[in-house]
Amino acid sequence: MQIGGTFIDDTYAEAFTLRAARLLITADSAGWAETAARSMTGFATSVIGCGCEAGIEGVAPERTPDGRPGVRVLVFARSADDLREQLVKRVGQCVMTSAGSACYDDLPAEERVRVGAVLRFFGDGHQIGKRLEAALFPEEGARPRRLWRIPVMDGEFIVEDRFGVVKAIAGGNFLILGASRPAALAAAERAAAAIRAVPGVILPFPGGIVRSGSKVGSKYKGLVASTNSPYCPTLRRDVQSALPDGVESALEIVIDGLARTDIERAMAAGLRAACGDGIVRITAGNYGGRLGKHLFHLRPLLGGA
Amino acid sequence: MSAVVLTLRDGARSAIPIEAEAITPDRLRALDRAAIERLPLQHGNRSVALAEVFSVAGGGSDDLRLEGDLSTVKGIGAGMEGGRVIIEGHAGMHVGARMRGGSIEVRGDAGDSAGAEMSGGLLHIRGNAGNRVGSAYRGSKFGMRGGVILIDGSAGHELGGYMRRGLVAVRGDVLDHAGARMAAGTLFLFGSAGIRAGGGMQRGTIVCYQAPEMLPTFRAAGSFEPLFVTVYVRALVARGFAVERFEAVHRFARFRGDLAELGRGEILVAQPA
Repeated sequence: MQIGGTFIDDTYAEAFTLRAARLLITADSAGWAETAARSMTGFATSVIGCGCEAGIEGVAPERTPDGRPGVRVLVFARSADDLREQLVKRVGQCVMTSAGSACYDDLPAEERVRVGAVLRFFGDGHQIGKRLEAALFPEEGARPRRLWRIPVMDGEFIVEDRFGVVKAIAGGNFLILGASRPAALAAAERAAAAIRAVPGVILPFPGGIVRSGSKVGSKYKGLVASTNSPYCPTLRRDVQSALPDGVESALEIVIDGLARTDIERAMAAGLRAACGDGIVRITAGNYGGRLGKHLFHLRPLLGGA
Repeated sequence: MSAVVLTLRDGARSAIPIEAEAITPDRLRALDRAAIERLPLQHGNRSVALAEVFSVAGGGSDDLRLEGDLSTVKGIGAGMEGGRVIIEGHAGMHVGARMRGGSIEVRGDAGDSAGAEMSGGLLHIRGNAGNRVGSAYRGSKFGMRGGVILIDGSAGHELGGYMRRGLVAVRGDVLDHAGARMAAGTLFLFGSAGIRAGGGMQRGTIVCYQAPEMLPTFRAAGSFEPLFVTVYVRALVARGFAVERFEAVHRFARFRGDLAELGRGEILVAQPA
């Protein structure tokens, strides 16, 4: 299968299950909402080394709870407990500290973790809880929501008591194999831009692009992941290379999403955007079933067999 | 299943109140028309069948509609846990008292003690309400313990008295002692408030869009932009409560009190932009 002169490998991306939360951060301006969101999603590229994967999903819908500009953030972690720990730290250290911010749950779910319920103690006894009664919400089966008003030096920090948690998928991916480093980077940038327009997903790595993709395991004991040597152009003579002739650079796009369909949409958009001049081949992180149970076959995503 | 429609019979209205606690969606849901007609209501000192007072249509539904001037019919929807009641006209005392869920819409006025000690659900009064809306009955420790009361018109004395939790919002004016001895919860007063608002309050919030006469046991505590007020107002608007013009009000003076009690309550008074 070829698109725009780029060969699409007959393979699949392998992804795994994580737990996810969606936050809505508002502030006096879109810029300050983004500042808080960027701060809380920093150092959150991989659950392996960062405890969670996080990113900005996009601009919040027009009608935020407090009517101010907002940004949606997705956070993924291995378990609800891990997610709670990460949210308490990141909301506490990065959102509460950001001027004029407020932080709301944006994911209705049965399972919920305590975030504001923990952060409220920063108020040193002066915090005030406000319960938005279920009857305020017209939706069938709506639940009450509790907000905490925590006194801070510019007024009050508003944070929701609990945040919804759902099962989600992390590690949707594809690899862009370029004839040159600039060509591969330009293609990866096109892919990342296309994926950012898809709701329900984030790209947790810097700029949405991974240059140090990993394989499962290592020659060193205790290392669960190591450099993806078959795709490193400098190791062509040292390992069994997966790089075809004419490829000088490989970059990976990694996608985390709330649902399988979100990742499928994102991968399809990214794959199409990446194809073109200077891109020899696109393949995916297929680990032979050792990484996760969610498989995303590339060609069917693009309408192929 | 069709909605149950109860229409007050001509001549059934009298100065002697009819006690109608039996009329709740939970109870009527399981009954056919004949069984509904046999339900006992108290009229003065005698028990009467519901069919003597109301003509009945439909059955087997928790969607209930009452028609006629029911201003002497007391306790409609009292203690209900779910379903929907629409009252096409006035409702008597105790409408929605101690309700725990579901919704009641009164398209006219409501008598005293509407939503008294309710703990859940929505009571929306399109007209005016009497005294002690959402309050405690005499001798009770707490009034309203949850749920939402919306009043499009005005309300009487002791609105939200001894309130423990929940939200009461009034678009019109309220009379004296709003939020008297409230333990927690939230009152939104978009019109004027009578004297002694918040008297004896321990915790909780009274949001006033017209400056009330402040008791001397409340202390000014500066002014700020309470974001949670905007969250509430926007939620009210989304719920169909017509207070859109108040979404733009952001600055409030804060008064802490009642210092004769615990003193951890607050009255927020809207400030001009």
